Amino acid sequence: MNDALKQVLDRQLSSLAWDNARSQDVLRQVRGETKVKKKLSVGLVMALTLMLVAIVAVAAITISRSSEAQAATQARQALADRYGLTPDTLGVFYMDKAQEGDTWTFTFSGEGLPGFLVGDYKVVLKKGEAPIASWTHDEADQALLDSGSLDSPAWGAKQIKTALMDTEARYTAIQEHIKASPEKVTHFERPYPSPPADGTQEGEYYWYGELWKEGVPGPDMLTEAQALEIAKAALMDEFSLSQEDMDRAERTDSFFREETNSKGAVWSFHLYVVVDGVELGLNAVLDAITGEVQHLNITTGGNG
Amino acid sequence: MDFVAVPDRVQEMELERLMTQYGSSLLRMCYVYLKDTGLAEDAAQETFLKAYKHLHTLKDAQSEQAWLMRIAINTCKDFLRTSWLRRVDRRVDIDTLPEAAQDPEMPDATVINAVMGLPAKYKDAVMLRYYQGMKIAEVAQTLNISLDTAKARLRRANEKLRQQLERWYYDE
Repeated sequence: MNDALKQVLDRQLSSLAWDNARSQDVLRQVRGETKVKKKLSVGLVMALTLMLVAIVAVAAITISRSSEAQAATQARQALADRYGLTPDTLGVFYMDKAQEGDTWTFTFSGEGLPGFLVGDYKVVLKKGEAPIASWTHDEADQALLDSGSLDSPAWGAKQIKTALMDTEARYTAIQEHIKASPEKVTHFERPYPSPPADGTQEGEYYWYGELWKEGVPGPDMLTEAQALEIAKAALMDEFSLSQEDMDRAERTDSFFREETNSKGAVWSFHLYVVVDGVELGLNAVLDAITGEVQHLNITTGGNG
Repeated sequence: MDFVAVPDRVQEMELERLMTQYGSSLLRMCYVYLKDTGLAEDAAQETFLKAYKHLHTLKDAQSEQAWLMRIAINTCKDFLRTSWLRRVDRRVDIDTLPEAAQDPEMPDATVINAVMGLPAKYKDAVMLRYYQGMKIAEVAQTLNISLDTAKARLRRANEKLRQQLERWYYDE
């Protein structure tokens, strides 16, 4: 592997080369002829621009996402584009993901509302190709879906929105559907093993089948307040929430997971807020050193 | 007689030699850590400035490459710790780099992305061993860890890379 990795990296990064001009630049600096000059990277220019904006308006944060988080954002966008799903209506689904080579597959399984009504969505993201989104109710009556009626045997974005806004109508409609077709009723189970029978200890919990142990952030890591600021900005950006929504949001949980053999330390936050009459549960997980967003999620309708 | 500060030509020549010998590989290594060309250039520059200031410690170092790479890794980590303060969007910008020669076996950025995605401690070991071509003992020395720990990190890093790079991966 020695040569292979070196060759590939050198070839891919061949445009990054240290030339004599750079050497002379450093030598001028050690002689005191010029001050340390930092190149303004695109990122730094953005940073300076944002700082300027912060002077005259509300400070903005540029969100950095992991490749997985970027893929999840694309998947949600694909569902918004094709099916009109909004952040709150997407919140009734349990999102799972799988990566194979350069292809991501996201599944959104009905959990906060009955699966036989809302169905499951799937989005396949292949590098360089348009996202492919599908729904188990793709053959459903479009006119009935467009009507928004809860009598429809398939619940699309309009039905879910109505169901989230009107608890009584939701309850009544679900009972009617169950009565009419009891054989369709299924119970969604998350595809991850349950925690061991003896449960978790204090400061531990399971997340996507993985045991998380609470730790204490090191001095070189983001503080809880710093991490929360980034988490809120990311959630606002991802789920089209306003600053006012975030200001009202109640933090229900903060968790610092110490570094493991396979993963770096992270901060995880859970927030709760009611927006336009819909209860939203929000979750953000970010790298405790760099602030890179690793996971964002929204839950509604009792999901989560 | 007035004291006149004369730049140390010997030290400058030594610095120039280090930059010529290690400049490009150090710059590229910084890029793998920082995922931003501008930051990588800043970090490489800062590495050499720090190296110049501490050249006197080089004599005691067993390997000048290990000594220099330790400075580079620490500098990159310092940059990473403060990058969020700079509000830097560190999304991988490899696609924005000028067009590089294409590898028919691996025409995209799969390899770099796989290495970039490794947890920091594995990335350190992989970059030093496989990119800088260091011996495992030098990797351990650079990272200030035991030989066994260095071996274990390389083994785990290899396992992770093997999973992601099945198509082209082969062992040493």
